[in-house]
Amino acid sequence: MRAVFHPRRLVYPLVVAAMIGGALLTYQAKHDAGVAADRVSELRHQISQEQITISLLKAEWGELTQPARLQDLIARYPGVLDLSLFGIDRMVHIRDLPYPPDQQPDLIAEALMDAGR
Amino acid sequence: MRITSEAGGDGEVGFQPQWLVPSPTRVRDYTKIRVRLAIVLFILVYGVIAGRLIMLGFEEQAPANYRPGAEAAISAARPDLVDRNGEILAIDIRTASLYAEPRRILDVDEAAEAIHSVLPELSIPWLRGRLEGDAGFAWLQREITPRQQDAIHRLGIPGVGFLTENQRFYPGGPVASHIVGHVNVDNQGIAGIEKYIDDDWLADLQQFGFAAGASSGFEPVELSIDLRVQHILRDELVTAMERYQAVGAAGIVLDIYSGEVLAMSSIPDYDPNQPAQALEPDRLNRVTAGVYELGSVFKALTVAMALDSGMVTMGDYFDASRPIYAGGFTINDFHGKNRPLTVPEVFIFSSNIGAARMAMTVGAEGQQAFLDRLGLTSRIATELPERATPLMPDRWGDLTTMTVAFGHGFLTTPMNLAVAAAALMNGGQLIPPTFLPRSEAEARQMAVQVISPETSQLMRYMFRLNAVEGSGYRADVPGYLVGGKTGTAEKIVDGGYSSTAVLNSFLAAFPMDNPQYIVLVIVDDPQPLPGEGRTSAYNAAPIVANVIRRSASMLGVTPRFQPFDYAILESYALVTTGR
Repeated sequence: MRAVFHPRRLVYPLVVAAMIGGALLTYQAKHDAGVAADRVSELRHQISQEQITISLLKAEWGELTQPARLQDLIARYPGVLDLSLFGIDRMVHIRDLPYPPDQQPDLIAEALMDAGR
Repeated sequence: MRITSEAGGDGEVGFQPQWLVPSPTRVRDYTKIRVRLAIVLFILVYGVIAGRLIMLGFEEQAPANYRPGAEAAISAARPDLVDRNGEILAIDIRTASLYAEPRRILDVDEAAEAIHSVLPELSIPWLRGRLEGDAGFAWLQREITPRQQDAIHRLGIPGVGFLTENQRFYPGGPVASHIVGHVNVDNQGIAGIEKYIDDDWLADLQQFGFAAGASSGFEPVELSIDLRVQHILRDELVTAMERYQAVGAAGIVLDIYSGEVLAMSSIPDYDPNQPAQALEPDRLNRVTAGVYELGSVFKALTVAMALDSGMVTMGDYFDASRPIYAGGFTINDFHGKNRPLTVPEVFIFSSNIGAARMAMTVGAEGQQAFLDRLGLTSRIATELPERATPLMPDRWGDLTTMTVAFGHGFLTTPMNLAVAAAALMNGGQLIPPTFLPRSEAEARQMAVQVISPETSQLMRYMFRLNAVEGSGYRADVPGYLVGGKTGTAEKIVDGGYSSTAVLNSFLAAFPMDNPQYIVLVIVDDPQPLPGEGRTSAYNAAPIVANVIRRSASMLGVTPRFQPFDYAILESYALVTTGR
């Protein structure tokens, strides 16, 4: 009986190779995951640090822009800031503003032209 | 190619050595057993691995290089509080505190020098003293800045760490203290809106552990107040309190169509960053937690009640020529006209006699029902936990009816009055006040019609008339058509009414041709300025004018300078024709 090369003989080396390959891949994946997890936690840490900074800055901004503080500064340095209370008579609707003198429409001429048309 | 050729003649057994295989039958048995053993072994091993993998998969991932541990839970996170324009009213900030574990410090000198390089205020000998020894824990510095924390972190000193916790910070200090409230050391709300959001939803979340940690992820909670208007109101009240040497002052700006509180302040107030101050009884919120006899501003309610009952019309006369003597009391007028007065005259001359007679026309029952309907007799329904219940007389006789008509013998909160006044101005709809944003449409759904739109219209005319012709002229601001009613109530001192201690109020609305806002200001026991009177017209009214002058443009009211004041023309027409 002739013993020919049987494909089954390749199975063991292949399985061994596959296992080693699988192990390598698994290790690689695990390593990558570990790296990614480190990165994620580092980023999370950074984010939370940034959020802490943001809320601090917000708090500071809120404190610096308090109307009471601004009013106090304006009162204390009148020459520097040169701000005063907004006069009510300074507030008009745009439609109430007159035309500049050189653009004043000649309403009478327009009316005459309309009439002559 | 022939692998088994040499063994060919030996039959089936092949290469197997004789010592291992005594007989064909036993060979088969051992092989089977070995194979099975191997199978069982492998199943076990892989089973254990698979099981462990599954366990790991279900496990929470442990954070790799920072410790959220117990310290994050020290004080729970809270949402920011912002005003209607997004300005910060309250915010959580994280403060880090530096501690050392001396037992774990390897080189004390090196560590001390390194820490000193970042925190120069800590001397090296002091640091060395703290870091030496076998102690498990020692504070080095409380509340360091993030920059310092980062620098120390970078130094990488073993045995040195940080504890961080949330700390509530109110950038405006006292500006909105009575609205915002404050928190205790565990960051739990114990007053104002802080307590309201805890009671409403936050405490439940925290209980289930959703709110602990560095960043809460909560959306900011928006309030209805406008920080700028709030500041203006408070600023004016503080100035007025000093100017008139008053015991206290309070004010509110209310949107009459939505019920939103735009500003509310009560002086003296406190800094929520130092909440211990809040316990002093003088610093209570006078707007919602204090009840007062509010005096003549109540005549607005009496007049509205009389007109709305249908028993009184604008042209009716009430005899104010003689004082009323009732139950041992004399009801008299401060600025007596000593003649019969029409309804608008009773209002603008602020006649106690006229108001008392008007209330008697309606009667005690009608008056009680009316005050109930306008919510003046019950605790106001709003978010703030600090709310007082109005105090009513035990027996509501004729004398009570007459005194309540001009605001005596009946104690209610300024907030109750402002809400009722909003109903008088907005067409007769009573809308519960709110400190959270609310649209007019939402407000309409919860509104209750308490007086007729026609009565409301007449009240507008009279408010405006009083600011032009009557006691309220010091509250007028050109361009904004302010209308209002003064109130000067004598305070009860030692069981009797005092002629020198008064509680002044001014109830205003603007712009009167289409009212948008109620402004109510109360001044407690103001002293008269030289050459001026003690009454509301001299102190409460100018405060209202200042508040409106400074804040109206922020409230979205455009000033109008009309050649004719149509509102007042119509008022005159009403007075003369007496419709």
